Amino acid sequence: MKLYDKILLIVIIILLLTSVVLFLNKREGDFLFIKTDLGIKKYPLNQEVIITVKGRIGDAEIEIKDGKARFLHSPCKKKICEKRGWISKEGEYAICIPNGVFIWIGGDDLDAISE
Amino acid sequence: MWRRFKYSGIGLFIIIIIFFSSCSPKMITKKGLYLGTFLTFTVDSSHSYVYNEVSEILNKIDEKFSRFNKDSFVYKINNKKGEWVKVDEEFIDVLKFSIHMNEISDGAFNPILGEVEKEWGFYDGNYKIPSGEELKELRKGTDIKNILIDKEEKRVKVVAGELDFGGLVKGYALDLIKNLLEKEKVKRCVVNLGGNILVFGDGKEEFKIGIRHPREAGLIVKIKILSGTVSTSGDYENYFARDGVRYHHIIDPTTLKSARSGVIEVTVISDDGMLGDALSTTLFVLGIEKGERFLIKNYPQVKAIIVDKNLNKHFINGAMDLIVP
Repeated sequence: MKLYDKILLIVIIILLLTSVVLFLNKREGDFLFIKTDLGIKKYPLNQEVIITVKGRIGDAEIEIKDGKARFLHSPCKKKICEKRGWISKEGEYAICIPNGVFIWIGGDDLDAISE
Repeated sequence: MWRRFKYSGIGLFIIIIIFFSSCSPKMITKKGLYLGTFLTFTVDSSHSYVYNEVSEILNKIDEKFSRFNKDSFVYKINNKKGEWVKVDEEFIDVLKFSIHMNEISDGAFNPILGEVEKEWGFYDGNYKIPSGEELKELRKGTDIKNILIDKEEKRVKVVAGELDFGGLVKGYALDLIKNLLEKEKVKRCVVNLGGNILVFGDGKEEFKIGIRHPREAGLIVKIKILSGTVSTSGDYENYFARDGVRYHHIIDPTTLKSARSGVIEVTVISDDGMLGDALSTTLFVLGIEKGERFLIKNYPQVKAIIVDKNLNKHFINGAMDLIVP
């Protein structure tokens, strides 16, 4: 390896490490998105509510509380989605394949809210 | 060999620049309670020290303009009715501005509605509907001429009524904070003082601001601006309901009751925070047609979004251009 190749390698490693740090440093999300065959719906996370959605095999209950969300109840057999537990950070998700329900957390990338 | 390095070096340099410029400066958020409301202060990390001075600015404003702080000018003026109270030049400037707003708006903005707000219970939450007789009695205290200013001796008195700068003091605070940010050459900053927003940046990267939906959880609209202040007044902030009627704290000085202009929310986007704050109340009281005419005539540089009771949005002075789809 030539000297310049080494420099290149070091720089690339630094960039990669920085990316990883930025990626792990995810912030708390603002919204829950729920995707079913009927479409995608968006719910603010700053509320306490249980949402019932229609899936392919039955109704699923999704709970929002304290800025987090989870599958509270699902008609699927394995309950993998329920076992996933709470999600709250941007990009986190839970999925119920048999029932075709996909939930994930998104941000609104707003700087402020005027009220 | 050297040439090869030169080109790959330049390429690498460009990649690094793109990489780092794509990451906004690291921001730090501080929170506090000031002027009876919540402050969220977000600033680029290399300027986090300015928060101490922001805190000082807000405490000083409280010490002069608060209705409830017993040492404030406002408290003294309101409680020593008819007596001169020694103030300072800053206080006189803000007071004069509020009187100017009253004149230019034909009374729609009124800084001497303190007694009325108190009677309705909007200060302490002991809400009540005053009788016609009581309102008639209170009217004497709402005349702008009750405020006397002695510029020479720097003193103020009110002969009747009570001063209330609630309609502009938060915006004024944002102006002072903005001066500080300029002085300290802050790169990027967002100040949220009880829903009154100041954004301050490099003039290249925009800020995205949501406007609260007046009736539901969430937003009614999103806007983007490079810099400036955003003030919103709504009938949902401080209100009570009796027999299906909503009584809110934005008082129409002509009726001394909650303004019923058909407007439920006003957002003003202005470089001048105090003006924006005062205008959000003024436009709320004036209503859509009068408000629009008033703003176009007097402040063509100030943009506003008015939401009427049917949730229709009215954009004034090009506010439409700020909307984020």
